[in-house]
This record gives sequence, structure tokens and C-alpha cells, in this order.
Amino acid sequence: MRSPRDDRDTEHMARQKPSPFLMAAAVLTIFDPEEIRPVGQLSEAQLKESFQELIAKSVVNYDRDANPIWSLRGDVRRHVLERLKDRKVIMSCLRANPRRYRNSLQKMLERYLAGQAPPVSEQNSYQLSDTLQVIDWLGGIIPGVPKTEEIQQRMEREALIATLRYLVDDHFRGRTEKLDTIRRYVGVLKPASLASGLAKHLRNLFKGDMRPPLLIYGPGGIGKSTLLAKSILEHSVDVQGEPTPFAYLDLDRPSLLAREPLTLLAEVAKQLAAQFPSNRTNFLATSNSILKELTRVARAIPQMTPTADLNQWRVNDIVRNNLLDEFGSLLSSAAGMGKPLLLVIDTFERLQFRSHDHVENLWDFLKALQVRVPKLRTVIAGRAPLDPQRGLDAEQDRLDEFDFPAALSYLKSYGIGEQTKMVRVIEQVGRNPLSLRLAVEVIKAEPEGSELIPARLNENLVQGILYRRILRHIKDEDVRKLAHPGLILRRIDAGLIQHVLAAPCGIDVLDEERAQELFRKLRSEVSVVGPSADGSLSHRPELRLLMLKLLWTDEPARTEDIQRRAIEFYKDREDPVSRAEEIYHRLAIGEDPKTVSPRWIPGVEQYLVGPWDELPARAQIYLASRTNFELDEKAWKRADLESGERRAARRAEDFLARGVPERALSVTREIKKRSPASPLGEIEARAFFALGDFEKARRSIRDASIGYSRDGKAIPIDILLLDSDLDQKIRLVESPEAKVRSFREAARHYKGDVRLLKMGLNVLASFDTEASRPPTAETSSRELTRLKLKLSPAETLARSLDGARQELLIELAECIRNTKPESLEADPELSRCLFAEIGSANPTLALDLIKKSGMGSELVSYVLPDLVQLLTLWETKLSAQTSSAGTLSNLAGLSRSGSYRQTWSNYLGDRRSDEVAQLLDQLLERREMPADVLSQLSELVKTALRRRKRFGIVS
Amino acid sequence: MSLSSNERAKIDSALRLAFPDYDDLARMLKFKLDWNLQEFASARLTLGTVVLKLIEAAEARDRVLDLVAAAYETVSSNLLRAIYEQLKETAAKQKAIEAYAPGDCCDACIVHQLRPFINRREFRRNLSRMNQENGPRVLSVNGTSGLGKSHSLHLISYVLTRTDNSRLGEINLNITAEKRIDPGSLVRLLSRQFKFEPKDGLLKQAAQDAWWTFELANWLVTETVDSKTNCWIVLDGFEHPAVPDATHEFIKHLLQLSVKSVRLRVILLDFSDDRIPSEMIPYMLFEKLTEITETELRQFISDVFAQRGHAGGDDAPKVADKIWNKVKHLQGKPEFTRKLTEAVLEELKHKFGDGGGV
Repeated sequence: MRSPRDDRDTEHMARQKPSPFLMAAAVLTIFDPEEIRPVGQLSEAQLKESFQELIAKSVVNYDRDANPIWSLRGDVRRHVLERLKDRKVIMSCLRANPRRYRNSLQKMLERYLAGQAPPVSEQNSYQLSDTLQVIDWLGGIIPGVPKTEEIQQRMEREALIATLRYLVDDHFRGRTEKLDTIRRYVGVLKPASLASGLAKHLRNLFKGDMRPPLLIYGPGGIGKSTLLAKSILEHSVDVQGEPTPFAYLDLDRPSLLAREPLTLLAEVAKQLAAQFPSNRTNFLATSNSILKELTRVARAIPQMTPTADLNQWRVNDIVRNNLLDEFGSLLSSAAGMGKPLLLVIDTFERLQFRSHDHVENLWDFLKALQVRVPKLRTVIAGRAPLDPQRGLDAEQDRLDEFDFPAALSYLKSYGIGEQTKMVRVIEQVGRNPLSLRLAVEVIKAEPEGSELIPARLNENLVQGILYRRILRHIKDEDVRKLAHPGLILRRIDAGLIQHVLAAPCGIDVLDEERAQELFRKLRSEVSVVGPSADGSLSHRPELRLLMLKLLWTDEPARTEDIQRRAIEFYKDREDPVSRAEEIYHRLAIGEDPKTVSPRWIPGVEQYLVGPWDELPARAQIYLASRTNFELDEKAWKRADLESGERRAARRAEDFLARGVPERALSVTREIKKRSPASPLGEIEARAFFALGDFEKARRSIRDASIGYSRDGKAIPIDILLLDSDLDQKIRLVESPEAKVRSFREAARHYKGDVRLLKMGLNVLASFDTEASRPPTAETSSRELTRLKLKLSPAETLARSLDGARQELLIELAECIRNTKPESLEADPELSRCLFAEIGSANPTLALDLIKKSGMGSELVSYVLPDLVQLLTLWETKLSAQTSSAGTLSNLAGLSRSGSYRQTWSNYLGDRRSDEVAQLLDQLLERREMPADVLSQLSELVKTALRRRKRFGIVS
Repeated sequence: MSLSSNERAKIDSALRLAFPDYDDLARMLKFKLDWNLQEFASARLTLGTVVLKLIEAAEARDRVLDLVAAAYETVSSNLLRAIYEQLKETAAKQKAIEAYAPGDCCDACIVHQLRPFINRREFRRNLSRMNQENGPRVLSVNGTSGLGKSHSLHLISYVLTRTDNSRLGEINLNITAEKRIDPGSLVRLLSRQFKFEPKDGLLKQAAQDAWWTFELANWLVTETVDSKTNCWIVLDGFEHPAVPDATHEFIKHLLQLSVKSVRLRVILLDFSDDRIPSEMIPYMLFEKLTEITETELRQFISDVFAQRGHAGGDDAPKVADKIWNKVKHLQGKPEFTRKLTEAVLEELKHKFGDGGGV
């Protein structure tokens, strides 16, 4: 993007030969303003002018040592080179500055100029990115410069493979049988063993294309991810000229949400884009359209508060199926019909431990995908087999420790060459890859040490002992003291070192600087700790759990002391991370979950993801119920009533968000006995509401409300809002006064809550019953007769409704004043609806609302012709007030044509609604709108809202 | 006069080249301006820091032109002379802009370097919201090429120079030669503009891993809190494919951490929505620029006339007609906005050619 001035510069250059200094700078990636020499000879005055131009059209950045670096502005460079055009001429510009910086970018620029650039296929990633920048300058000017897309494709594929190569590294050994299992399952590569090959052949004879997922499970550290990466790599190389398309998804990545598997599909499409150059654009477009849809749905969350529940959004099924169809047909056109797609899902335990419903959700998605991609081959790595009771279809295979030759070979790959030593290591620590890896670290740190551990012990104990041995080799004594009991904390940062760990660990941390220093040193102990997403440190989870158990046994007092100090440290903090830690430590020292519960705030869930094997059983149940984490059924049987309800509520909420209210109801029905303030009543009401069973919805609301009252608690505003939704839907108001009272009560309890405004609007709409509406010119004579017949009872209600409406408008105005302006700004549609209701009753407040929300082009489109009258009236009134003709039309920059009506009629006649909406907003901001005009505008907005509803368009 | 970051960097470079020694610089200041360099920066600091502090002091005293002139009189450098000429031109334009200054700076029609800023009401509104104490922290502006996304920087810069206690840190990769800006360099450039001093080692870390990028972002955000100044970061051109992944990772952390600092505002120009962490979406403002409409043009011209004291006259509609007729055939084409802006400049120059300076 260029500014007008830039464009004037470049156009000016296009007409003339570029000035000598610009020509020189155009072929230098960076230059020294005191050293640069011009191209060619000119008069002193011309050179002076040219130099001035160079300085004006350059940018200055700083290198790593904070030295300024000069370069020609990118757009100017491009235009100079376009003007020079000829390769030889451009090359000759280089000769003006034989002493130039020759950084890698400069070298690549010159290689392309000389026609000697290495082929794209041979460039490393750094050279590729050099080329990308050279393309900006020379692309389309001289021949032989590749296309940006070509380079991007290469870089993307390189990046995909690099991740897998990193996982496999140089030490992958053994696993022949498991690799064969995957080969057989995918059906592209020949299994290494003859028996496997035969089995594959027979299987292919009897099985169709579709195959359920293959789950490889085994404990943490056994090498599942490495096996999967190895398998992908061997499938990704060309086999008979065709590599198998693949996608690798690690569920540890926060952007992959299993509860919304379209996030997975977007990533799959993105990875396939790098593998199918000729269909790259299409795959990227599919990925983008999925992400756009996800973004659109996520943006629809109305509350812009840090506590908004972001987990509740989900794309609707019609759109989902369309996106799946689009993906399926794209893949078959790119790879050819019937080609397999290897989809690898890692860290599946994240999902297994979190929710059965999420697992089922993923399975549903995989099934739906397989319908579109029959040869979908999904290989999943997790820690446990699937729950057989859930009836999910999968092939399952357990991954165990290395066999003996593989373990030997693994140690050998780390340079422990002596056979007897290797055998001794294996005898002592076993064949678990993690144990062996830890043993290698110990051997490296203690080359002279003879014994790793005294005897063959339980695997966990082995790892624990080895871990302690590794800890011993931390050079800094204070860091060593910190590291071991430090793992009681789930996260460590400088503040925690200073205020929580220092004293119990027996080290002096006098100030923040020392704490920072220790933090930095601890961070460099990569075999002990790793980085967390928030920049703090954490211990390797499986080792932390192990060591924690040992610590509780060996040093219970010190362990509890650290936990209590951590609680003290976190307790006055309000952010979800701190609160989650406080809750965790309270539960860890055995506090009753009921006393911990008041500390719960929205947002802590994501920092309290299980499993929590180190916590007491009741703490685990409590956390599971609050975070939608799955425990085994035995554990749930021990759960108290509230925990069971919370668990059911979360599951049911999820079904509601997925648009299956029936399943939400089946979950809530499992809980027979209810606490007085059970959250299930509200969920049932919402489910019935969604199913259109308003009577049952009303009953559920009533029961829930009674429950809360009995428990001495205020009825949650969501229930009140739902109740008003029902009122609005049914439009059967028995006692308007009671509704106003109820609203007033809610306003007292939930002062400032934006949901009150929605509730108020609902109640107002519910007053809009047929009986309360006066007959209009549009009312047919038959309807009129019917209304007349009913007049007597209706009249009473209408009067009552009218009084209630006035009262409610006063209350609503007060609520608007109490609502934070940013909440209203975040929901312009709400503001417009409020404006329509209170426009006549409270012009000042109404004007403020409509100024904040703007008119919105959609609403304007429904009343475009009606605006002539409004604008004419406004203009007439203003002109009379200011004694100046055409105040409004002048402000709008319109040429007057006859009367005001004529001017506005002409204007509105050929304008789009968005332009008119813009104009109205502008006029409202700049000119006073008399109360009667404002009242007319609010009526117009009301009409627009009504018309929109009638046309069935839902915003 | 207020300097852009690029102008500041050019002065910095020229002064460092002309006075590579603290004592030489101190002598020049004493003889030519009667300033004592010790008052601004001690001799123990690096030359880069000394010069930066000197420029800040000159800006605070509104003596930047005098500083550059004094330096040029002492060391006859072509570079200093060229910069002096450029600054003189900028100063004249800044003066001319004041003729158009509206009550609310977000309503400005003519902004830095005398560039017209045609309507963009939504953008102005967003800017105004972000300028509020508890306003949104992140705005992403998108739209097809040629609509003036990068041009938005000029209004932002205009507004911030007129807003108390605000600083602008802007990086536009569209105009730099090297697009491979790593997170350390990005923070270095922003720090210079915000006048933060990164601790030794923070920017030069060898391992450019996710951890480091987080640490950098965290440091920057913490500094904005400690500075008690509203720090606006504007990033443009970061969709170039050569921009390293680590830098995108850094920006992601910056967005995620922005909720922690009431002082930080981030504006992303032409930044892909896909790169924005989904959990941030509800807290951000998104704006998609569309082509300037005839109504917008008419209002703009009417506003310019009003700001120049010509409100109520018949000239504005005529000028708007003339401009619109010149460009309406280009509607929907990439060059439309550019041509429209040129036509506006031309007509305004014709109308207010003298004092307006357009």
C-alpha cells in the first residue's frame, strides 16, 4: 500500500530517467549515506538535488547492535528498477559502488542479476527467503526470477517436514512391527515383514476402502509421537512418483479445538496446500473459508468481557457439511479419486481425559470426513485405549517399551558404544525410551560413574531416581535447591522464586533482580524444566507427578509450607492464571472443595485441565465437575450432588451449543436428585425452548426460580432473560404490573448488566399483544369487528399494559444509564432496538444511543423512501432555527435542486443504503435533531425492525 | 516540530556519523547552541543513546531544526544538509496543517505531510474508542489493495501528536528492504520509538524460540505499563512471506498480552485474520476498508471547507462534483483511491493554494 505522495514520486520517476543516486541505491540492499557513489556524471547542482532525493526517499532501520542502516524505500526501488528494465543496465549500476555491503540478501540480488541464482529446489530456507525479497524488486522485470508462489510452496513443505524430522531426530530405532502395522493400515507402503505383507493382501481382499481410525496407545514417554512422525516421513517420500498426502495435528496446540473439529479441518487443508502446488490456492481458500466461518461465529459472542465463555461457539451443521463437502471434492480433484489421506492426530489423551463427549464429537467428525474421503486413514496416538462402553469404532494397538536390540541400538546412537556398558544400562533402567533417555543424560554428566541405580526397580521409581541424579548435576547450588521442591508449583517465575520458594528452599533472594537471575539460570536447565505458554517454567508433567509423590512422602512439612506460601502469594490476585493456581494449591493441601468453590472465577477452567492424580480424590471430583473433565464412573459415584450436577450441566451445555437439545435433556435427566439451586433447571428450560415446547420451558423456569428462592439466592439473570424471551415469544401477559415489578427487582440485583436491557426489550415486546394495539387504517373491517367485540375485556388489559409500558420505559432508561458505554457500543443492534423503544419517551438518551450505534445500512434499506420526509422535516426545522437555508444539505455537500424535499428525494433516489446510513450518522453527530424529528426517527427504526422481521431476515 | 520515527532515525544516523565522539558532540552543542550535553546524557552512555537523548531534548524544546543546522555548520556534511532541507519542508507543512485543525483531532481532514484523509468514519470512530482510557486495545484494518490501509498511519500519527501522554511505535515493512525482521529487531525498533531501554541480552538471545518471543512480548508490555504513557504500536506489511514465523509468534503473544496493559494499543494494518488467536477475537476491533463513496467525498469536501471557514457556501458541492466527475469511471479499480486523492489535492490546491499549503 502506498500513500498518494509515494505515488506522485513514482509517477514522476516513470516519466524521467531515475536520478543517479537513486539508481545506485536501487541495487544496494543497504547503503552508507556518506559512502554511496552516484551512477554516471552530472553537474554538482544536479548531484546535490539527487542526493537530497535519495535521503528523502530512504528509510533508516537499526541492526542488532543498534547501528542505523539506510536503504531505499521499497516502492521507490521497485520503480527505479522498472525504469532501468535491462539486466545489463541494472548490473552496470552496481559498478558505481564496488565497495558495498555484501550481506546474503545483496549476494542473492546480484546472483539473480547475473543470472546465476541457484535453482529453487536447491536453495536452503534462508536462501529461499532471500529470493522472496529479491522477487519484490526484480520479479517481472528481468527474466529468470521465480514466482513468489513457487518459493512459498517450497518453504511451506520444508516447514512441515522439519517439524517431523525434529521429532524423529537421529536416534530413532526399532519399532519395525509398529511401523508395519501403520503401513498395513494405510495400505500404500509394503510392510517390511513377509507375514505382514500377506496379511495386508488378505485384508485388502476382504475390506472396503473405509477404515476406522487406528489408535496407538501407550504411557507418556514411550515414543508415540516419534513413531507417528517416522511413519509420516516414510509415507511422505515419493513412492512410484506419488507421496501420500498427510496432515499432522497435535491436539496440544491451542488452536486445534476438539469441540469444534472444523479447526482441525482448516489445519489439514493448510498442510495439504503445501503438498499440492497445483491446488495450493484452492486448499488455502478452503482453509480460509473455514477459518472465516469460525471467526464469524466467534465474533458473534456479544459480551466483550474477559469472562466471556469462548467455549460455547460452534458452527452450525449445514455450514459444517458444506465445508466438509468442499474439502472432500477438492482433495479428490487434487490427489485423484480414491487416494488415501494419512491424518495423524497426536496427544489424543488431551481429549480422552477431558471429555467423552469431545471424543465422540471427534469420532463423528472423522466419520463425516471419511464419507467424503473414503480412503481417509486416521492414526491417533493417545495414552489409553478407548472406553469399550462408548462403542467407538477403532483399531487399537499398544505401544510398549523397546525390544532388547532396539534399546541397544538406541543407546548406541547416543555414543554409548561399549556393549557391556549398554547391556548393564538396560539391565538397570529397563527398555522404556524415556528411562533410557534419562540414563543417557546421567551417563553424560557422570562419565566415570559406575552404577546408575542399585537394582532393577519399578519403572517410575527408575525415572524418579534418574531424575534426581540429573538434578544433582545442576551447577548452581541455589538453582539446584530451587529445582527440586520447586516442582511442587505447577508454574515458576521470578516472583514465585522470591516470595514462595526462597525461604523453604533455604536460599537468600533479597531482591527482584536476584530472583530474575535465578529464574534465568533455572530456565537454562532444559533437562529439568521447560517453558510454559505464559513464559513461566514448568517441570516435565510425568516426572513432576512422580517426584511430587516422593516429596509428599519424604518431606510433607516442607511440601505443605510451599503450598501455603503459594496460596498466600496468589490469593489477592484477580487474573485467571493466579486464581487457578490458588485453587489448585488449596485443593492440594486438602481444603474442602466447598470452601474453595467461592474462589472460582470464569476463565480458570483452561488452567486447571486434568488429570490431577497428585490431588486428593474429592479434589479431583470437584475439578472434574467444574472443568468437564472425565473421571472413571467409580470416581463419579463418590461425587457429591453439586459436583454431579455441575458435570451434567457442562455436558448438557455443550450439547445445547452443538444444536442438539434432545441430547442435552437426556443428560440432565440422568440426574434425578437435584440441589435447590441446581443449574440443570435453566438448561432444561433452554432445551425445551429450543425444541419449541414453551409450556415445559416455562415450567422448568418456574421450578428453577423456586429452587433459587428456597436456597435464598437471587434468580440468575440468564433465567430471567430466558423467561422474558418466552414472554416475548408467547405474547400472553397476564399481569403486566407483575412483569414490571419483576424487571425492577432484576434491575436492582444486576445493576449495569447489559442483559437487563435485552430483558427489558423482551418484556416491552410481550406487551405488544393484539389487544393492546389500537386499530389502524391497515386493520381489515373483519378484524375491526372482532376487536370491537372483544373491546370490553381487552380495554382493561390495554389500559394496564399502557401504564406498565410507561413504567417499564422509565426503568429501562435508568438501566441504559447504568450500563457501561462500551457494552452498548459492542452491540449496536441492541442500541438501535433500545432507541426505537425510548425515542419518544426520552429523546436525550435516545440520541446518545443512536449516535453510538449508528443507523446501520441494513435497517436504512427498509425505510429508504420514508427518509425523504424525515430529512425534509429536519432540514426545515433546522433552517428555521438557524435562519440559514439548507443547513443539512450543505453539510452533506449536496447541490440544492429546488425544494428541500426535491433535494433529498434526488439524493436518496440514487444512493445505496450504506451511503445513506453513513450520511445520517454524520448528520446526527454534527447537527442537533429536534425532539419531534427524533421521535419520528425512532418510529422509523421501529418500522424498519418490524419490516425486517416480517421479511424473515434474522440479524 | 514533531518528528516521525524515520526522521528521528535519519537525524540520529547523521549526527553519529558527523560526531563519532562524545566530546566533539558536546563541543558543538556548547559553541553553537550553548547547551550542556551532560544535562541530557552522560558520557558513560553509548553514543547511540546519547544522540537519542539529545534529539529528544531538542524535540522537547522545539529546537530540532536548530540542532541540525548547528551540526551542519560545524561539520559540512551533505547528509546533514539534505536532512536539514527535508526537515524545513516538513516544518512548513506542519504549520500549514494547523489551518485545518478541527476540534476533535480524530476528525482531521488534512493530516501529516499535508495528506488528505478522506472520511473513513468507522476508522475515526475506532481510533477514538481506542483513545479512551478503557477502550479496546487492538484494531485490525483490512481491505483490498489500494484502499489506503497504510495511509491510515498518517491519521494515527496526527492524532497521537495531538494527544497528551501518547507515543507511537510504527513499523512498515512495505518500505523496508529487509523483511526478515526477527522479534528482537522488532522490539529494538519499537523500543527506540517508545524510548524504552531493553536490558542487555534480551534482544540478542541466540535461540529464537517461542519462549524468547514470549519473553520479549512480555517485556514490552510490562514496559508500556511502567512507562505510564499510552504506547501505540502500528504494524504494517507483516504479511510478507519472508517475515519469520518467530515474528508472527511474537505478534501473537503481543496481542494476547495486550489485555494486561491499559497502556498498550496495537493497530495491525493488512494483517491476516487467520493469524489472530481465536481467543482474542471477541476483544478486538476489526475493520474492513471499502472504497470511498460519493457521499463520503461530499462530506469530506464540506468538512474541509468548514474547517477553512467556508461553511455554508455553494463552493463545496461544486468542488465535490468536479472531483467526482474526474474519478467516477475508475470506481472498483485499484487505482481509484489514489486518483481520487490526487484529484482532491489538486482541487484543494487550486482553491486554497496560498496559505493552505496543499
